[in-house]
Amino acid sequence: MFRSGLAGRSPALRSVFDLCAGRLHLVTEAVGVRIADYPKLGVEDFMVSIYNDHTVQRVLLALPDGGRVPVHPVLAQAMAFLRD
Amino acid sequence: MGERIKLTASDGFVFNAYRAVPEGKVRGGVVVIQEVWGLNDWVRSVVDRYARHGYLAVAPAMFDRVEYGYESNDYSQAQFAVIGELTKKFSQDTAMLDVEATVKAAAEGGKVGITGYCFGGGITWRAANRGLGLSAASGYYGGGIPNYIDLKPQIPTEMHYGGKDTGIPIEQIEMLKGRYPEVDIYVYDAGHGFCNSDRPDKFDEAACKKASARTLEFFHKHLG
Repeated sequence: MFRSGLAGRSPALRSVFDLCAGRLHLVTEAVGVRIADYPKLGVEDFMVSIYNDHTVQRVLLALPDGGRVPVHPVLAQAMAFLRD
Repeated sequence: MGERIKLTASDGFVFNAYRAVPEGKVRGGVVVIQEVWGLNDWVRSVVDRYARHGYLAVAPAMFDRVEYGYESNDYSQAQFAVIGELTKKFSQDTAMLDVEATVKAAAEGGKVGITGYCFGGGITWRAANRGLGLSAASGYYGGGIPNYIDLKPQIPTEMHYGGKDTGIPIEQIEMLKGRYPEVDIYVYDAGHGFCNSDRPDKFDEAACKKASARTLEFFHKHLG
């Protein structure tokens, strides 16, 4: 009840609960990098991208509809909700 | 010490290069392959260094087919987009034509070895696979190991990597070692780019000295 109440107030936290329960899972996939975004890359991602067809590896939340969402912002939003 | 020259590949493409000739006895030839910043100050200093060690050294401008004359001493993120664009259009196949032409130029000194750093380290491995008239290859922290691990070297080859290189996972280096036990693969307690003395945040003098001494010994053994 308590968790479902929290999940109802935070979609990000609901995703974390679903991840922990195995209803969602994580994948690591190659994500394309636009040339315009290159100046924002860290050195490691820059290196990886130029050797891997301008893609970098990212940890993503695999959604039931097949969609993908970067997991770190979801975790950050969930943590921000719990802190507030 | 050296001079800027032009070389012509077998398909007729004319590209820039930098060549340095030893003052005394010539032991052989060395092809030096750049990082992603073109024939910049540091790469030319490496060519000069090999000449001081007795090798007729030549470095080709590997991006001339994409952006003629590109070179930069700006190692900041401001260059990332430029380099991203260059590597997007870069062809490994035509690159080997330019390397082959450079080998021929360096052959004026005798048997030819090849060395390269980062991007150039990968090119070094690929050149070792093609042969191209080379007698030895010694590459430094060539990224993207999965892209070249299936290319078996045809000539004596050694490679140098940084154990703290966050762009080249140690697991990939171990895979390369396992795949080619005949290739000496050295791992140093350093990060990526440890031999670029123009980048104080990357340069590791101890690792670079050790690796460079190994390369020279390797070239002495296989080139003269």
